[in-house]
Amino acid sequence: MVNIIVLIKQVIQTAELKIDKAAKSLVFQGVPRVVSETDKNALEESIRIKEKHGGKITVVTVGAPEAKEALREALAMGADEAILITDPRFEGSDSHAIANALAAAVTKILDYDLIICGAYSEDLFAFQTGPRLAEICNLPQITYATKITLDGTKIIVERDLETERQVVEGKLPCLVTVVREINEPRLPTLMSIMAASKKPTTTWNATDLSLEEDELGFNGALIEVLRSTLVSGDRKRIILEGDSKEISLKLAKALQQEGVLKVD
Amino acid sequence: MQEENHGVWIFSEVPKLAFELLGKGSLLAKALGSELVAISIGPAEGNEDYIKHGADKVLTANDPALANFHVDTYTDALSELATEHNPDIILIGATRNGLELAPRLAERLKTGCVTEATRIEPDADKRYLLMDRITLGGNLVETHVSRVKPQIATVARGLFSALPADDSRKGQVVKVEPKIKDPSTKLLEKMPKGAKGVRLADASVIVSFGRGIREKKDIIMVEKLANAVGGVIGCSRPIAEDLHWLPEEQYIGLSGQKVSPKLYFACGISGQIQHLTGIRNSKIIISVNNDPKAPILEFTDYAIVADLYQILPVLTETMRQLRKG
Amino acid sequence: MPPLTSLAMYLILSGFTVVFLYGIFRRFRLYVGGGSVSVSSVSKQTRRAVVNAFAQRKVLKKPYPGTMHLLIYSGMLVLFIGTTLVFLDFDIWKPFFQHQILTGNFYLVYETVLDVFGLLTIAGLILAIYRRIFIKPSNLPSSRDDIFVLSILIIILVTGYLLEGIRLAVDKPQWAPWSFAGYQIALILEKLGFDGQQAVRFYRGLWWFHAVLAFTAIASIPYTKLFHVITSPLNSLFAHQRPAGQLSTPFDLRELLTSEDFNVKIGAANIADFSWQEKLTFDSCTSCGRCSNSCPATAAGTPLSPMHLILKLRNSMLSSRSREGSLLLGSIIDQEELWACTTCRACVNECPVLIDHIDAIVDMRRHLVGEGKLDRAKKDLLTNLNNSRNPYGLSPNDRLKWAEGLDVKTVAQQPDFEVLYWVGCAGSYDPRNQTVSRAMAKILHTAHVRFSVLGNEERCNCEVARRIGEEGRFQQSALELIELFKKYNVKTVVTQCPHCFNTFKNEYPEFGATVKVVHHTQFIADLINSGKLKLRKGSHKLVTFHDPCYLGRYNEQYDAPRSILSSLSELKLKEMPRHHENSFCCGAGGANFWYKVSQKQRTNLIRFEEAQNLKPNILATACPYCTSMFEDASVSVGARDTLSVKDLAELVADSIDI
Repeated sequence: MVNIIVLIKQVIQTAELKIDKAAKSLVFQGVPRVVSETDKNALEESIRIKEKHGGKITVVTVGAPEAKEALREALAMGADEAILITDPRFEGSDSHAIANALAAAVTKILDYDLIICGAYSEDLFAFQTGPRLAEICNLPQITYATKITLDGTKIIVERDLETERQVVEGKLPCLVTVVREINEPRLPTLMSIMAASKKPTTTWNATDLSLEEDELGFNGALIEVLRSTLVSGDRKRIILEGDSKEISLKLAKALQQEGVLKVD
Repeated sequence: MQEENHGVWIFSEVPKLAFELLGKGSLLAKALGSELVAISIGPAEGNEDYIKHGADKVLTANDPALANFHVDTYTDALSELATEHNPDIILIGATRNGLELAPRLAERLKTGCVTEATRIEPDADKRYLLMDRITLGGNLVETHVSRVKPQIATVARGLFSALPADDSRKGQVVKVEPKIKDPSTKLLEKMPKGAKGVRLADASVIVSFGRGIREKKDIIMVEKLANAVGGVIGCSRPIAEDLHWLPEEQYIGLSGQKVSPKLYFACGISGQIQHLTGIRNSKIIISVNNDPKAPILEFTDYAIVADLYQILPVLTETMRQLRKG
Repeated sequence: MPPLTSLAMYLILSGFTVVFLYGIFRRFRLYVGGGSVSVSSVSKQTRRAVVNAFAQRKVLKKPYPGTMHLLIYSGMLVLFIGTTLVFLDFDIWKPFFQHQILTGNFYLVYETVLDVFGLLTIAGLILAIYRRIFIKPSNLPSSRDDIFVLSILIIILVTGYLLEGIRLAVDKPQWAPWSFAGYQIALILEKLGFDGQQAVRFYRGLWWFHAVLAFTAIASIPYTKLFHVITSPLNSLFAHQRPAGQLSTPFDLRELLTSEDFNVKIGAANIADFSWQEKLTFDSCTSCGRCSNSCPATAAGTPLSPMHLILKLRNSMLSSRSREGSLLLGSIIDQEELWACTTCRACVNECPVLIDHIDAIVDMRRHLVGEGKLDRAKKDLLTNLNNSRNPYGLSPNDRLKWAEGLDVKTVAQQPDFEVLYWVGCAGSYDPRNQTVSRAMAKILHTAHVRFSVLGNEERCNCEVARRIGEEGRFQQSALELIELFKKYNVKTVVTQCPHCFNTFKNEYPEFGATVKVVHHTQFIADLINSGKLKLRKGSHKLVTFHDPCYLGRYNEQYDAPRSILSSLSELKLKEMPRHHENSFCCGAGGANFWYKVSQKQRTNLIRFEEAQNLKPNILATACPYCTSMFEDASVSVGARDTLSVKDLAELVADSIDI
């Protein structure tokens, strides 16, 4: 029996973001909200572990009230219980404040052997939530997992690094972050998502988690976002003119400016 | 808690990346009137190289327990050093190791961390750093400031340039012995990945071709370009499925691979929707096609409307020269 | 025949009858369980049964086997009636009513008719045997069952004539020449002197042999291929009556939303999950092979062969081992067989006994989807439909990009439109099909049609989700779109996509849609014929036309595209070898466009080659999938400069005479 906490995040589908040129802002309206891809991998992995070893899967998310849809999808995939952590006072949180809130939730849940989450979220790619949470909860962290095997309290993880793959052994309880290669997440049908609304979902706010004012949102953040600048989304459609040499040089210059040329 | 923080620190377990960080570090150190310190963890050799590449001081921890990167021991080491010395700034190389180390370290020090900063400059008062990063699928650039010190940021390969090695530079190499606890996990096995291990789905540069390449022997032209730009080869569906010039794992499209490189070259590809859905997450798309009405032009950032047999060799040479120096 | 023969015969017959009845009972009992399907129109049902089973309409579509079967079928029917009349006459009418039916002129005609039909039957059987031994058409394997049936029938008939001949030779009745065949045999026997006691003794033995053989044949009906004489007519009576383009509806989302009970079992995991009507269809298969011979997936070398699929389902039903809840999929049916189906309907169209293979395939797909057993591509498709409201996963806010620079108004901008132009996902996002959308806009403007588009409110109707087996998403999308149609008071919808056309026309009414749907070929043909659109005459080009499955075979619309082509008088139309209802699928349907199907020879290449052999300048299409598949084929074979692929709207727009 392995009780697992899976952390998921509802993100906007960044590929659909449009820029309102007049208002000079991003258009969020009509942009679908989805469960971050690597979090689906985390969920899928936890369900496979449950299918093999038994146990309970609690899926947790910190987000806006709409994140309930993400939780329903997770329940439809096979999680047993969902917890939504939402509070307008979380506005302005950074990775630390979020990890702090998650730590409070995890402590409140109490009965777990394993925490699984995606190595990064598909909107911010910050890679911070897992390690920060592990640090606060004083848990070992095993990152970039491509395979998880459990044996009693022993956990064996295959990890994917840039130039090598590793096999490491650890002990439960611990926190594991997963990457896309670990599995192919199952896709719940619409009917199973609708049926999942029958599974237990709890909502906690900052008070439920006994968080202090100075831990919340903007007050609790260690990083401040001074400003945001829009980057144009559309393809440039620049046609390079000239002879072969001229075109090549123009392109080389453009790529350098874009910062996309790899260096040895 | 907050005494005066001094020093620009850099760390990466990958020496070449460490040197790049030193390159940027030296600019920051000069602007802030700070000392530039390289943290060297693990092997005792090579510390002199840090000095040659711009470090004023090297703090080197050579406990055998630190011989190989482990997030537990390295976090212990760095956090003890940081608590003792109170650096102003810590730049960490954004390798996968670095990306799991930096936030854990930041949390232990209860400070902020900016992941994969693309721009790091001191603010007007020269007190805090303004750190940019790209977010929301490339649509937004956010400027971050840490409210607490040390200010930590992770930086990717190739963003900054290393200084040329200067043998005449002088600096201090200081041995340190931070207390290391036993790591929580054990390494059972280590398997190196071959150079060919880069999958299309992970590749950051891809050079792809379609039916514009007339014969199998002409693929060498595309390979040369790929080598010149440090990229992996891909193709459109007919090349793999109909002509079998490349294995099926190498075709990109609706029923093939989906890729999200920083740079995608589409050579002799017309741009049917099946192919376009596979490449739409590419940061920059370059198309080479002699048809000015090819559908791919809608989806291109930089278009070359020319005979690819003419332009590819020239482009290859230009790219090669560029990357050399 | 000696006395007590009748009694003995009836005793033996009752033994065989028990075997027969038991067989029937045992077989029909297998249909129990699973759901049921309601029967709507009894008169339509009956008429269908009469036309297909009795009048053999679909069987006769293929001349050789059609004739062959007609001969055997009609012959056996007549002989059966004839023989029954004899028993009735001798053993019921004569003893009980002191009357005989088979007398006088009626009897004479009766004898001749029976002789004629007996010969016809033998002719049919010879044709059948010849076909199996010498012609050996594909998908017609000969099993012990086939050999048994053909052999026993021909032996029964031959011995029957022999018996008739001996009887006539011995009895020498006056009316003998009326049984002309038997008469000729009798004459030969007389010449040979085989008309005395020896003959009588032989006759008695042969009579029993013939009788037992006949009883065996009848008793074997529920145990052999002969069962189709019962199931096939029953199937043409009870098979579903849904229109061609409408898949079955396993639940109604509106009801589930009200009841809030979403625990519905959908799809078929094992044979028990099929309704009795579906099980009857599996049992009706006569292994004729017509479906597989017309199936594009079979031609492409995929694992799918519709006939073998149905036979596997039937055998699973018959085998007691499989009936005990074991899963069909994996052990008996390979997933890839189901995914290879393009739902082109060639199989259903060909089947003489009205089996709907697609129904069974979609039922099994529904189960797979419910299990989540989908590969990456299929998951991405469904995810895209849900998140981006189009199958490409492109931005839902980009649906009007094709219309940049054109005067195209949305329903919000122009609420008093006559016609809603449904652009569709391909028309909105696929660069190749955006040109068709632009052509449509030009045509509609030129003809002064007051049209609007839904713009970014348009979303995929998820027809493809229904075909792949995700019924929930399809219905959710349907309900949403029907609300939208109501909101904007849409009366008429015109679309360039036959799949959109089919689902709006045949599947949406069930969910409350009341719109009139017109495919763009029909719409354009009407504009031309009413003079609202004038076309230029140009240079002479040879064109061939590919009938899209969902426009032609599914909805029987063949004329409008041809009418358009004949109006473009510079184009000379040469029909493809497989045209109209025999059109060969481009390979994109049934969601195949969106995932990889392992094929030995790509379907679109097969069809493209068929077009190329006519050496046309233009391959005309009327479907965005077909256009895309043929452009792909063209690139693959390097034919881009020799053969243009053009949608009819493009051809018309290029020829508009201002």
